Amino acid sequence: MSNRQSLLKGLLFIGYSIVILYLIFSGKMSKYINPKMNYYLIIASIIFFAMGLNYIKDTFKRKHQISLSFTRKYLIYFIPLIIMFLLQPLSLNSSLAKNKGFSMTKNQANAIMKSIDTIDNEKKSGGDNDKSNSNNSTDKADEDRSSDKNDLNEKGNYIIYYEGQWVNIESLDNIIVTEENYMKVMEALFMEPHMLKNKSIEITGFVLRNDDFADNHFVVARGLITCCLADSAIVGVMATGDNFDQHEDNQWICVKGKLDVHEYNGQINPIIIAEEVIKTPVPEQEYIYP
Amino acid sequence: MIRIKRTEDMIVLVVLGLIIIYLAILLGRFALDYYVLFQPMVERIHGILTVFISILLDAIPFVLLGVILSSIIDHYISEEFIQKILPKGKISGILAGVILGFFIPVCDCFVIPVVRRLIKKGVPTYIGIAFMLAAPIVNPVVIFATYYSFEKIIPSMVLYRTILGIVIATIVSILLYLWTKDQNIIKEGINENQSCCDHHHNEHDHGNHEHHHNENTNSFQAILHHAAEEFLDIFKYLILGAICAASLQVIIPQSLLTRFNDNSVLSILVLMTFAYSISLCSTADSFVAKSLVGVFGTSSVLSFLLLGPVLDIKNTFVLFGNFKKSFVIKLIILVVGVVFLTAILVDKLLLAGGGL
Repeated sequence: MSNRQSLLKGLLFIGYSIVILYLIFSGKMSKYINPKMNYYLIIASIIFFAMGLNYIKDTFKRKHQISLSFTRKYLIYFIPLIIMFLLQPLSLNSSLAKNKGFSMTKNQANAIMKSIDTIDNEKKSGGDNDKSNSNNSTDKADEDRSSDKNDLNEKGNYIIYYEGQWVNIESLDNIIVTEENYMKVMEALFMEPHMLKNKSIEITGFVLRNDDFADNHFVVARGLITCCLADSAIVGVMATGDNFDQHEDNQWICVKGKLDVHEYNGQINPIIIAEEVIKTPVPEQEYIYP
Repeated sequence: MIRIKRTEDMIVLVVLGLIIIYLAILLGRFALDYYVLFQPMVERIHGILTVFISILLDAIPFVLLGVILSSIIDHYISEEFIQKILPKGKISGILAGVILGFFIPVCDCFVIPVVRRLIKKGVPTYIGIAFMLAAPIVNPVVIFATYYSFEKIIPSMVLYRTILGIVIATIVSILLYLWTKDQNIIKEGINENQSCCDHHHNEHDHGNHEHHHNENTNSFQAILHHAAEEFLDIFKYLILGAICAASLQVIIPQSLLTRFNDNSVLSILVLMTFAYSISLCSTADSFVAKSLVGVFGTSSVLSFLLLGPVLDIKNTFVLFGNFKKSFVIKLIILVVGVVFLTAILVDKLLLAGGGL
């Protein structure tokens, strides 16, 4: 390996090491992947740095052979590096979203509805096996998730973390949806839309419309990242109110209103009858990380 | 090698082209009144680049850990030791590979360099492949994620996935053994161009393992160097895979999928294609699969969950980079075939009547 090649590889690894830290500390990283991955990436950054130094150290050692045509071979490695430094990541709420469709409003709600009837039967037949299997894996899987699991005790009983304590969502009159309780509230909303009817709700998200929505209807939506953007999804709840058409697509808003149910695509879904809509800036935590 | 270099160059050109178009239009947006015409295209390219980086960042730590483990194996574990602990029978060997997958919670990014190293170290191909196919599905983290995603919708999904994952890994390994016998499947020559390097520890791969043991003084540096070289090898294919996956993801609307959800055979094929093209991590795919349940039948979602972790467009590139072309093609045919047949069987036998 020539000195030049060593130097190039050294710079490459150090470049990746720096770009990872830059993305994390500039906050751009949270638009690419779930922040729980940050620890792995910091470790990767340290290893890259060590690898880079290791190469650069070689540069000052003896030479074996000299070759000049290697630069082109490394071009491909520098492309992602340059993109990482320069690209302003596209938000999920624009063109990416249109490709995805939203999962809670259509597919997932549909799935959940269908399955409610079958859950009881399933529990009876395959329940025992299921439990022993899950217990094994619970021990080994990360603690966070296993404690999360306990939040949902039985069907129709949704315990959410609300203003510093665990409460049953059914006992609340006014539900303020935050990043922390977002998924739990959504689950409760779509599983038991009737249970939460007439409760007050306050929720933040961006305006998302589908072609088949009626006038003055839109979804208050959030992007969801489990690992990376490849598995991202759009989650949201329908809202309606006077003069809703004046709100532009992708505008971030906070909607306050009363919950009700409506039928969409043959499914019973929750809907917010809005009393107040406030324009808000993009929240600090743009995505929900389940 | 020459042909691969050409594809590389082509991809480099395509990516550079995308960036240049993107930048040019971006720069021109203030000057040109008809920017509006280009806006959808700019957003598409912007989207592709964003998803591309996202997939890369997600995979980098695991690939890195994989190559480091591979280098450590190379450095510290001798071929004699591996021969000594290996099960002698073929079936018991395959089962050992599958069980090893259960205890090592890794995804496909991580597992390929490790398997390649193990096979180079003398582990029989069928054991290595059994491990490679089982690990991304059968490990506890994935089992738990699947259980968690499906506990309310289809509680038995986690059982189907885990058990069938084991069955498929076993069947494919056996068939692959019958098809390829003891051929050498490792793509040689990847490290050749680097093996002439001036790093005096690095006699590389082909024999000379005792050599390493004598130089404990600098083994850390040697491992680091070795891992870095291997990382560069794999990273190249990862980049190609990620750019393909990102393009497919942004260009093909997911609503297109739902047109094929009436026929169970067709929807299995559609979801297998979907799983192959979007290249999700196996810990995250159950969440996406969950959102498909209402639209597609259980058997097709199951095929999505069984195929995605083992085979997708991203790791196809990595496989081609590590193993011989003919072997990878055989592997793909067998995995796709067995997963498809399994899903059909599940659909016809276990789920007769449509839903669970």
